[in-house]
Amino acid sequence: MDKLDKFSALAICGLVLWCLLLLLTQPQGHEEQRHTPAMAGPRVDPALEQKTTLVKNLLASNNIDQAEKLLVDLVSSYPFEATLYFLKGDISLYRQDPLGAMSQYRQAVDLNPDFLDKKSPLFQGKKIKKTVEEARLLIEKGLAANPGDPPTLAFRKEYYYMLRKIAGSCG
Amino acid sequence: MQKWVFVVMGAIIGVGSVLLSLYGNPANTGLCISCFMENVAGAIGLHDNPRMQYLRPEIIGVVLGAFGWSVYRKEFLTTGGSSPLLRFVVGILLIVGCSVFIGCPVKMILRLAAGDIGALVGLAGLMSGIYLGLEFVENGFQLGKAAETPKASGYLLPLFMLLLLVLAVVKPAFIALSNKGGGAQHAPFFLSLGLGLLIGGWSQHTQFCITGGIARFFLWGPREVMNCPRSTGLLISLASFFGFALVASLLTGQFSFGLNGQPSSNDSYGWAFLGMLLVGFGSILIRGCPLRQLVAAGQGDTDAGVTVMGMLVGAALVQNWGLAGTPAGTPLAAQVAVLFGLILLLAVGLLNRRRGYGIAPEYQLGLD
Repeated sequence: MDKLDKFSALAICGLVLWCLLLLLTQPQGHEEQRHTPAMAGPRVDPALEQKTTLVKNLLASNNIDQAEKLLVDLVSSYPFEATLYFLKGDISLYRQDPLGAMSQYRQAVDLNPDFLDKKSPLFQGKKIKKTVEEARLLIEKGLAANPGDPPTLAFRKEYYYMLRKIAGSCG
Repeated sequence: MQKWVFVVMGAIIGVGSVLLSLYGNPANTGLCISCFMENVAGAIGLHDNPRMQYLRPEIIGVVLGAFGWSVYRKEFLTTGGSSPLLRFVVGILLIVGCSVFIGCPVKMILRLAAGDIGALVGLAGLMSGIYLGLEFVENGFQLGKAAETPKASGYLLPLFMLLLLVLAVVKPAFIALSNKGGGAQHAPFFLSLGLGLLIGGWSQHTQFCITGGIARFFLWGPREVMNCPRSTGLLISLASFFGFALVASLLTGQFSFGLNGQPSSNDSYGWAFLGMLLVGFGSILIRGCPLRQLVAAGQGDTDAGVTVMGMLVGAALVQNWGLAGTPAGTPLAAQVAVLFGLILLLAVGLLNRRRGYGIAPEYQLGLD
């Protein structure tokens, strides 16, 4: 066995151990992932459509508290419905909370990337971009006052993620 | 071959790719072999991601351009028989590695030219993989010498691409086409096809290869490499590619310098490094990066043709098994796939070496 053989053998052993470590220490969620509605494809639920329209009407007529109450109930019944999180983000914006709005929009986009897809009728890129920009200002302000603040750092990580999502990808 | 030919090679691929992005391809993805193979795999039904289904004319054009130019110059030669099954598997691994980085070596240069400094990690990984591959090549690694084979097999891949071209034009119901996502973002069909043909033809003419160019630099060092016309040419092409892509990005407003918020990126720098290490390592063992495999397949190399088929299967697996990097990071399955790929390549290296020997004859071709 020459040097390259020894290196290869050691590298293989190291990589195998690393692989096993990854598989054994990562949280198991395969069954849940397998049955996530997002993977099963879009569903149309008339009752949900009706209630979502009601929420939008309540928001339009400035009944924020009522809309929020209804949304909380809807999210518990339909936890994988992207539009609901988007509406929660709208409510956060009404309440002058761009950081909260950014988090909700992130959940909405994760469940349904169409919100950032220009070719989709659901496209809301401009609103999301504006919210993310407002969130950036707050994050910078927060970090300037308290550089190591964990919640602000978490928001900053989320901000960077949203920037990447907005910038787009080939996938 | 005169130096201007290599400069033009870089210009065609650099400016062409940026123009494709400008006219509709995803950002920083004017030309990306791995992403586009995933689109092609989706279009022909190998996966069902509705956002990644389109018969990319660029891929078709590269192969047909290389085929056409090699036939015109009477350089078309059907060869094969150099460990095709192994090359098929390495083809799968190349796409896995590229997908973790979210781009092939061509896209890596395009990302750098667009100001994405995160792609430097990919470059470091690619160069490390090339160096590792060269250690094996210089110490007796061999896949067996390819021999001339019956002509029919050499025409198969160009014919397959011609079939895809017909399907792309006719658009029958069984060909899937995204109406959203990355697959729906594409430049005009004939612009993409035309540039693909040009890139394929010129790449065949100059034997352009990103990993090959970097490998020669490692083989001989900076001083010696300048004395070798082919090596100088490849490096000129690489530098020209980057330079022209950079200028084109600046002029078309696609340049955005920084680490965060770049298209097709994430902050899993470690895995991006390892993904491209896998690509560099694999590319050296099978003598060519993903683009080079397409070009070689077009000029009659059936081993490269088998690699291209492996790349197509790899593209499907990446989508079906969730092996691609995402803006959120690198999924566990992708991490395991990269490590497994590296284990496999090291094992292949270990088993396919003739100890005590230097560079095998099939790797000496073109090392003038």
